[in-house]
Amino acid sequence: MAKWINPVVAQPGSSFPWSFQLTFWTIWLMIGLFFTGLEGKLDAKMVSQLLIQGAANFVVSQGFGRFLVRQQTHSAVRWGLMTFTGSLVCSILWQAIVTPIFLLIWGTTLWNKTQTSTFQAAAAFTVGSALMFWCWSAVFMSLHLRRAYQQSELERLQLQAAVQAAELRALKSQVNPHFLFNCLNNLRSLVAEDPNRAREMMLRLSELLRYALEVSRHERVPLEEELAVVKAYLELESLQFEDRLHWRIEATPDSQRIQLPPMVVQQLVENAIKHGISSRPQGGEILVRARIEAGALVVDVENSGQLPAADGNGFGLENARERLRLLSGELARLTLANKGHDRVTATASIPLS
Amino acid sequence: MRLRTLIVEDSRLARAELRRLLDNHPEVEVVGEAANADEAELFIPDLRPDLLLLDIQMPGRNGFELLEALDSVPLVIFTTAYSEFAVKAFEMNALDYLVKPVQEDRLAKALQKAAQAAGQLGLDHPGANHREPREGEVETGTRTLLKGTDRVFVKDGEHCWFVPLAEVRLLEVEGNYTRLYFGNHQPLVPKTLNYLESRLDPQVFFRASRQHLVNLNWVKDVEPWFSGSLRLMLRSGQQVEVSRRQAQRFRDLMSL
Repeated sequence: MAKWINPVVAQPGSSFPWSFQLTFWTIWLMIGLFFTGLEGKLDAKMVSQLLIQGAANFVVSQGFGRFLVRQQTHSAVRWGLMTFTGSLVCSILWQAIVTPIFLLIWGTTLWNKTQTSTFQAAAAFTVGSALMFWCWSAVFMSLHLRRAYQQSELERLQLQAAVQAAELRALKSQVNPHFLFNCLNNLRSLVAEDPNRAREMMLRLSELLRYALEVSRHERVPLEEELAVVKAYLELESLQFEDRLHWRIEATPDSQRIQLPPMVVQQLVENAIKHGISSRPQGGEILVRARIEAGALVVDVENSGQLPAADGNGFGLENARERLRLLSGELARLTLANKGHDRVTATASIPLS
Repeated sequence: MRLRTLIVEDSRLARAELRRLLDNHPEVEVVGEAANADEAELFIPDLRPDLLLLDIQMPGRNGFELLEALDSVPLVIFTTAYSEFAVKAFEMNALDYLVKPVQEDRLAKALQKAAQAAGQLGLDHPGANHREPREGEVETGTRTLLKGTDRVFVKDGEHCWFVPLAEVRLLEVEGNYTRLYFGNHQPLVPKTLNYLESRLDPQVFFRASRQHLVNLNWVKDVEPWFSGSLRLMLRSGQQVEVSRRQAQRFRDLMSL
């Protein structure tokens, strides 16, 4: 999540630096003209000198700005150092551009002739213009960071909306319509064949639907409860597959009370049915095993079959993995691997909180 | 006469339910049940049903794949637990489809359509599919050759067709597949031209060359072509060359 709140680098060529640049340097020019006017020295030469300096300010600061927005640091000291040395470099660069132009047109240098030595004059001028660039960079950075913050805020909200949409989709997909309608169809048939069993199975279906519809996405449930629903689900699938489906659930007593996000095991079992049973004419076996191991609740869901050679992670587990990560944190794991030549095991590992 | 019907459906309870529903329809005779595509493919040549009640979702091959594997397909009513896109794309072509659990009146309507279609398709009386070959009828092995009214199932991407063979004007080699020309369509079917030739009536489908098998009922005109070969003009505007070797056979066939 951390990367979402970093300041976002302004897109090169976006309107922000340009409008800021024009405003800042126009004001600078106005002030320059105003004070020159006060001194009564406002003539064509002064105006063109100021214009040339303003243009150089603009060009050099443009480069400085590009350099600053590329920096990814969050340390204030480093920011200070960077703006400080950056301003000095800018000042020297600036003189390297402007001095030859001045020498070429007017045969004069920039610095004040009242200073005692050329060196002193140049040093004073450099510090002065560095100070100007430093002011510029302070204004620039504050605007830039504000903008970046707004943008990251926007992205955070977008992300939140996306997560909610994904959760809604996941919620909907918790009841697979294929399963549901096949189940109802089988129940209808069972009513005629074995009414008592049909009544029993309707209870199982209600149990499953209630669980899928009522558990909140924030809630955690004891494994015991989740496994009871998995059992109801497997009994219902047995109506569809009959002797093509064999299943077993084993959980160690100490694992029963462990809390986990609802529907995690259920999703794995559904996936196991889809790939291990319903696509195989000869059917197969589902084995659910839960235990505590190395400070984590470990649930294996094993089914007959093999992973397709090219596919280690797909198999419709991406959603389940993402959901587990969102609900149980970064340490939760979901892996899928072949085990033997006709076995696939999905393993969910959820750290004990 | 009754519609001889085969139920293809993987859930036993679902099959039993369909049977119970069909009990109310004396015009339907359930001749068998298959639990998957493999079983169905095995039963169909022997049972020769007029109608399949076919589940789309099955373990192994699905309902479409079963139909593609058949040389000629009976009438088909699809059944599905959940209507998906595949079924919708199909609606235009399929006789009908039913969602499970099946409603009685929807079933009645679908069966009525099936009976009508059976009449139109020249199963002059339903049940006609199930007969001993008459004397003199061409036969290969135990299977009779396909007739113009027989239909093949063709799937090309999202599109599916039930095509009466009479509407197929040309078959063309495309590697191990065969391209079928009918109407405005020319989809591929996963069978070799040699196999299809062996299943088709040679009086109607003539092997013009290695590449082509032509429906003679679609030939409008014949022209002599280079060095003893012939060129056939089809009513669709297509032209097909008859190789020199086959040209002689063509002349013999035509002079009959």
